[in-house]
Formats: sequence, structure tokens, C-alpha cells
Amino acid sequence: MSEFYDNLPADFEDLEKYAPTLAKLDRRDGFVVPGDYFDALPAHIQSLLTIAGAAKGKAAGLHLPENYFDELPELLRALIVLHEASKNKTAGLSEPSENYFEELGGQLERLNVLSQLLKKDRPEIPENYFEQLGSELSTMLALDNLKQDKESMFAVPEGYFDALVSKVQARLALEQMKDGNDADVPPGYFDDFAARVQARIRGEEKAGDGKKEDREEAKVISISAHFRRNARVYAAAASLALVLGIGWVLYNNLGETNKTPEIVKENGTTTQPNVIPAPGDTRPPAPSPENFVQQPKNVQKNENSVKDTTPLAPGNNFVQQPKDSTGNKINNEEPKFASNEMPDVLEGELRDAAINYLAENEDDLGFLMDEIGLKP
Amino acid sequence: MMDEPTDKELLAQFRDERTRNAAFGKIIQRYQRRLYWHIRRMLIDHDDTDDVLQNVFIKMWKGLESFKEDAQLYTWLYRVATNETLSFIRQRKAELFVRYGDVEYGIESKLQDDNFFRGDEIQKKLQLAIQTLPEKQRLVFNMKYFEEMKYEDMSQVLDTSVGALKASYHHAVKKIEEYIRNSNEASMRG
Repeated sequence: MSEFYDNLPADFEDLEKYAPTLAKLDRRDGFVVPGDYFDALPAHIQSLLTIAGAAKGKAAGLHLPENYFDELPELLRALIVLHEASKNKTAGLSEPSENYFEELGGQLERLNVLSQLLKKDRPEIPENYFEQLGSELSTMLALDNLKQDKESMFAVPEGYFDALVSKVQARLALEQMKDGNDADVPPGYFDDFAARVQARIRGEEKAGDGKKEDREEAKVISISAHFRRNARVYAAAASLALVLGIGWVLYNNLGETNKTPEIVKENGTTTQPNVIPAPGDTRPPAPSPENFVQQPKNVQKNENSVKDTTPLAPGNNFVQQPKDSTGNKINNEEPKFASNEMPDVLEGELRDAAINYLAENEDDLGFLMDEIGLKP
Repeated sequence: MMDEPTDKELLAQFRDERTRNAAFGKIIQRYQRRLYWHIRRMLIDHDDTDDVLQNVFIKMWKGLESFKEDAQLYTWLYRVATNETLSFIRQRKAELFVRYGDVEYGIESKLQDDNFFRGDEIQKKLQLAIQTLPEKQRLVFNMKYFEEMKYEDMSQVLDTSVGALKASYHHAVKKIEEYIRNSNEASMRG
């Protein structure tokens, strides 16, 4: 940028060289100014300032401005100057604002009434007349302020009208609930109640009422969200309970012979199925299902046994094929177990069945196995 | 004959409540014409100039008590007047959505009105040429060509370096010369 200025010729102000046409002109601009403008301007400005000062005192509110009567003559002079200025077109002074002289007329009229009141030759002056005069004038000024400035007299808290509708609706809903009249609750009101409350809380926080630290945040706990978080655990528990339940039913329905799978206790006692408690948060690492796979015990006595002797692989849903009292397998039927006994600990084929089922359907087996006694 | 009070003396009188109004009146009388023409050459219209000038003096009344006297009074007043004028121009443009061509036509019609302008044809061309300049360059040209203000004082008013002001004036002169010459040639052809 300095190169730009450095290239400026030393004689750049020589108009005859760089602007010969311009050099020939008189340095006059040719504009016209109204005749008395500069003579009238100082008084005009001072009158404006006097009015502005008086208006400021007036806006102070419900009391008579200080030195009101002392400043009154000057105020009157200023008003007259401005009024004359509007008539004197030769001075070319502009009116201060729209409707200015309508307002000016009103002020002059009030002042005129006041001056007449003071001058009037009364045979007697009412008692306390001058004491009351001040308050009467204050009332007049206050009424005048009200007319001019109706809307800004009362302060409304920020955001009040924005929140009012929802507040009234919530209050109506609460009152209806208090009455206990469920028929008046709108359909679907409780379905999204939690979401609406949360949205309202967010809205109030956005409005920035600045009082967050002074009030407790309302916690809206969603039951469905809690269940979603722990779905897998609950599903695992439910699956296990289902398996145990089926096992218990089948066990109770099984025949009396010793040839039934070893899950039936020899002493013929039955036990209540183990109640699997709700899973906790800390669980031992899940062991590999392969560690628990065992060879099924063969029933040797019947050559018609259809028991599968192949090693069990994880994921295989091995179901023990029971045999009837003759040793023949019962095809396409649910395995039958002794109905009056439920082992404390699952063993043998039933244990294998439980393991395989869980291995196929659940990821975490460790704590469940511990709970139901499936130890490696 | 009594010597006229200096600006410093007037300021001291203004700060005294007893003599404030009188000092204020004297300051207005001392600077009203210079400020008027400074504004009028930018706005062209007398009524607009009157509005802006009144605003300038009212601002002066409110701000003079806290004036720090680190600059001369008249450069401070010029600065206020310049800022008020530029604000007025921008506000008027925004309100009216006026394109440049429309502004020029409006100015030309005002320059035709005898109530506003009584210069000859060449002075009218000069005013039209000045209006083609950007606002700040227009200010520089007016302050140098018509008011013969020093670049150092101009620098305080416009808050621009002396070098930039000199360059701005030089380019403004060349632009105006070209405009007037082209306008004369067009008049001779037409």
C-alpha cells in the first residue's frame, strides 16, 4: 500500500496540470441557503434542548418535576420560538417531528389554563388550594404519561407469554386428575406424558431462566428404557426358567423304571426346581460351552435304543430320547421324567440338554451355570 | 472591540452551569456555517442538511462536557458531523432501496430547482461529478477543494492516514476532470 502512495507525484495538487477544466472553475458549489437560516438556528437548537429537558423531567413519573415553575417561562419562550419557526418558511428550519405542533398546542393549552388559574381574581380561594395544586398537576402529568407510554409501564418477565399456554394446559390437566374423573383425560394423554414433561424441561432450560442451580431437576424414569438396557439378561433368565420349567414338568411325568435317565434320583425324592435369582451385574467370565459337553450315557439293555452316541458339539440341540419300560424309545414324543422329583443339581442328559440350549441361545452362561449348579 | 473567546475558553464557560447556555449559543454561531456546508455538499438537499445539523448540535450538547480536548474542538465537531452524515446516507439508501442511477437522477432534478441551486451549468456538472465518487473520497475532495482543509486535520476527522488522503484526493481530481470533459464532449455532440 505504501508503494501506491509513493507513486504519487510531488505536484499532485497542481490542478492546472492534472485537471485543467476543474482549475478554471470558481470554488463555489452554487447551493442556496434560506435567508434567515443561520440567524435563527442557535435559538432553534436551544429551544429543542429545552423541550427535550422538560420532556425528560415529565417522564420521571408521578411527581412534579423539580423547578417546574422556575423553568416555566423559559419553556414557554422555547415553545413559542419553535411555533414561530414553523410559520417562518424563510428561515428554512424544519419541524422537529411529526405531530409536534399538535402536541405543542396541547401543552400550551394546559399552561394557559394554569396561568389563567393563577391570575384569576377570586373573591376567595378555597382552603388548601395551593397545597392540592401540586398533586393535581402531578395527576395530570401521570395521566399524560399513561397516554403516551401505556405499554411500557409494567414489566413482564421474559418468556412469560411463551410459557403461559403450556402452564395453563398442565394446570388444567392436574386439576382434572385431582377430580379423579378419568373420563375427562384426553385419550393417549399418559402415553407420551414422560416425553412431554422432558420436552418442557428442555424448553425451560433453553429459555435460560438462570435458576437451574436453585431447583432440582425432575427425573423422569422410563420403565421401558430400564428393561431395554437389561433385555439380554432378562431374556437369559427367562430362557433358563423356561428350560427348567419344562424339565420339571417332564421329570414329573417320567415313568418309574430305573432305565429312565439318571436325572431321577434313586431315593425317589423330588426337589423343587432351583429358583434362578435375577442376574447381577458382576458375572464370572463365561466358560466355553464345549467344556461342559459330556457323552450321553448309553442305555445298553435295549438294542433298539436310538440314543445318539456321537460327541456333543456346542450348539447342538441334543434332546434325550427317553425309553419306555420295555426299553424301546418313544419316538416323536416329549421326554418323560419322574413327576415327583426335581434334582437339586442337573446331571447327565438333562444337564447336557440345558447346556446346549443355553449355549445356542445365550452369550453369557457363566453366572447362570453357577446358579443352577452346572459346574465344569 | 472585545476579542472573541477561544475554543478553550468557550469550553470552560460551557462546563460552568451559569454560563453554559451562552457558551453553547456562541459555539453554534461559530461553527454552524462550516458544518452546514460540510454536510450540504454531501447531502445536496437543504432539509436533510438541517435535520443532520440539528442532530450534530444536540449531540454536541450532550457530549461536550466529557470532551477530553485531546483534539481541537472543530475537528471533533467535524468528526461528529461526518459520522452523522454518513449514517444518514446509509439509512436513507436502506430505507428507499435506491440504486445509484436513481440517486443521480434525484440529485440532477434537485440541481435543476432554483430553490436549491443557482450555479451555472459547469458547476452543476461539477456537483454531478462529485456525486459519482465513493462517499469517503467525496468527503476528501470536498474538504480539500472547497474548504481547503489541511491533510493533518482531515486525517483526524476521517481517521485515515495523510498519505491515503493525498492519494484519494489526487484520484478524485482525475475522475472529476474526466467526467466533466466527457460531459462537455457529449453536450457538444448532442
